[in-house]
Amino acid sequence: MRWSMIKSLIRLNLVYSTDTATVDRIRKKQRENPNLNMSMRLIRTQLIVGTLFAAVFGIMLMFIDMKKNPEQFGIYGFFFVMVTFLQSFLVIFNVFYESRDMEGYRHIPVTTAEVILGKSVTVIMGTFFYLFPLIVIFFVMPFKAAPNIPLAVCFALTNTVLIPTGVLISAFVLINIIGATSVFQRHKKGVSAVLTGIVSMILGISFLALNPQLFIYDLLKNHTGLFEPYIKLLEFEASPTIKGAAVTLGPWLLISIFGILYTRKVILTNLYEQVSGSQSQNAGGKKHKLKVANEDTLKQEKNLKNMKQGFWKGRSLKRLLFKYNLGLLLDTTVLFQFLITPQIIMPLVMSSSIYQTSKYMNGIAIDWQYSIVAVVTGIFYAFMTSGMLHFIIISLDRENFNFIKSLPMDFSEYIMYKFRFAFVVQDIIPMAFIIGICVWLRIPYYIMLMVSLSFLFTALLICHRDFKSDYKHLDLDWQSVTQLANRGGSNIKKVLIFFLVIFLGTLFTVISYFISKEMSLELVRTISVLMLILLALISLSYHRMEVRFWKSQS
Amino acid sequence: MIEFKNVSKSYGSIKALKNLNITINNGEILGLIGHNGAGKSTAIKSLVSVIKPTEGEIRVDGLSLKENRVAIKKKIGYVSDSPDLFLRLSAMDYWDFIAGAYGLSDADKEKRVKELLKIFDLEDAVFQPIESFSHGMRQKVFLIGALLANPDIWVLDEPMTGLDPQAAFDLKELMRKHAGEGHTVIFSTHVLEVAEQICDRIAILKKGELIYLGTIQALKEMHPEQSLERIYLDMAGRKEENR
Repeated sequence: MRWSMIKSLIRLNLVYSTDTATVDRIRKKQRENPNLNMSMRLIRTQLIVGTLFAAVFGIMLMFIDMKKNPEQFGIYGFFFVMVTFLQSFLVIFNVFYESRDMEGYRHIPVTTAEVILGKSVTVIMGTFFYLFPLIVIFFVMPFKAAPNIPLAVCFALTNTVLIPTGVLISAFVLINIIGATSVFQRHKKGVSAVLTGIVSMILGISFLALNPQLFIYDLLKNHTGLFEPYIKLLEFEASPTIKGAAVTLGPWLLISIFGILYTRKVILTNLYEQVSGSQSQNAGGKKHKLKVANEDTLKQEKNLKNMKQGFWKGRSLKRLLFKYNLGLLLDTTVLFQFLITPQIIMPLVMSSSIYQTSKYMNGIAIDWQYSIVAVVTGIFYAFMTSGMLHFIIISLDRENFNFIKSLPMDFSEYIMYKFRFAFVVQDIIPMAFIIGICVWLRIPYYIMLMVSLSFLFTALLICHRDFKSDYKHLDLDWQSVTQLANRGGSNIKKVLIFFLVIFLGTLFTVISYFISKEMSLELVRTISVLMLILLALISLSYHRMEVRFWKSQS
Repeated sequence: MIEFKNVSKSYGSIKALKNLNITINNGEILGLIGHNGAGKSTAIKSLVSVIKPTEGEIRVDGLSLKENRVAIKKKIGYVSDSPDLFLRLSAMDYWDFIAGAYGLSDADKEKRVKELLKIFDLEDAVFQPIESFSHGMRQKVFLIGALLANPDIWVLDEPMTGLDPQAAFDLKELMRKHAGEGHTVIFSTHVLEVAEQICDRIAILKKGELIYLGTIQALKEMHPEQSLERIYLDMAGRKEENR
């Protein structure tokens, strides 16, 4: 094995373990300064962030009396094991599967062992951000808990080796088990997007779990089973016994040994072929060769079979468009940045304040008196969650956009279909969220209806505005979706607008609450209904105007 | 010298290559010609270790490919038929990696990259990700990668696709020069004129079988009344429709 080759492979694979926006930013600088070393820049950033993060949590732990407060250590332990596992899962997936480069190494004079080692080191580097704090937490803990220094050193070293190894190896094994399934081999793109989307979402939400002000923290605290193993580990290292070692460190040892053996005997023997997509294993683990090595031949066979079965019969254009547009969304960044973050994480963050409020809502009857607040809340919520997908959905077409324009079909119909598709996909989650919260807080149906309608009418306005904005700044040559999101104004301006929306939204909600309290029930009801009618009129008129605009573009 | 000895490749029940026997000498340019699915890329991919033949043996300079993969790969520069690999890397990242894999020193790499960049006119795009390039530009990136270490054997799968006339002309010149220096060039093409211009010999494949191996001159002499296109279509195409 050549170390220079492995270093070269690490440099290469760092691009896959880093987010596209960061890589694009460094490349821009590289164009101005060709001597800039991108890989060194990436490694340095990962090291700095990992060290900073480790230092912060290390210092925090120094001030915690763990013997008196084992729960806090338990939560920290669980949290960092979980996030390191999820992060390594993502990085392994990106470096081994999403990079789609395994096929490219075959003709190059580089051995399989070199490729796998190079990629594995890149994976470890990509997890520094969480791995460093994980190591620090389990390294510091024995010095706070163990009865004497020699034992503390011994436990610290054992923890440092065993726990990170167990976490990384189990992520590697899990991802390769998933990668070997026939479902994954058949629906690679869809499964990849869903998997990475879910993992990114959990990673995003998990940080909320460290904040005692949020309901996730309360939920976690009620599930002691999750962090009990780490409390037991703390107790064992405070007063060591053989039985304690078997119960606490034993499982980590078993996971590590099993993972290493499984990796050597099962995964590595087949990894190259599996990742390249030329061989697969079925869910039961029995090896069988798939006929996918010659994809062209297979596609021909499949098309022939489909044609014989009358595959195209009855397939409407709308159905094909739906499938096509759905395919555009099956990209991790699109899913996470434009759907999951605004649609799920944002409402979850907001739900914590609703949760706090709900504690004080016992005994308060929500009725028509709160209908203006309901309308304002719907408007505010639409501003928080709508429009992002519409801002990119046309540009996502890339060169297909011009090609579709050349087809003998009505352009305005195509574009309006895109609009409706994005509207449904984007607003289905916030709508479900509104209904869920209303049911949970036992809010009357008419208030729920008012929030929903004001949300929908406002969302319609915002989506039309952003949709047109995408067309105005159309970019069919983009390299990363982040590039699309950054069009039409500086990032600072966008962040300021976002905070202004939050500020104004909160302000108007509070004002509407106090004004409503001072008014008679009849007046509140009349004003809220009038507000809703006015909103509907504005929204639907704007919708008609936009439809006319798109027709004029045909 | 490259020897294909009874090389076959099957995908399930489909035989993509059937008992291929060819010997390619040093200093020779061999053109692989055939319709889509004739087995050209399968033969090429078997030689460059992208796929493993189901049967038979490939030997390069007397060494068995099966037993000396890395050593033989070092002798070969390969351009794939679909230039869509390593898309997230910049062109320079890719060449850096290739230079490392072939053991090129930094000075040699820099010198060679400069030479090839001039030929393929790609100076302005070296730090841009490959995915942002047009088909032709991607083809140039991978051509530069293949020629970077100046390996003895060039294996180029449809290398002219997407290239502008100047780059195609320059590549043909490079291929001639490389063979003239006693090295080997194997390439596949659909363009008979290109094969006629530069190939010492051609191999025509049809449904995985070698149906002709020899010079174009000899082929023409066998059918003196017919154009090269007609001869080729009669041999490799749908006979009843071409007549």
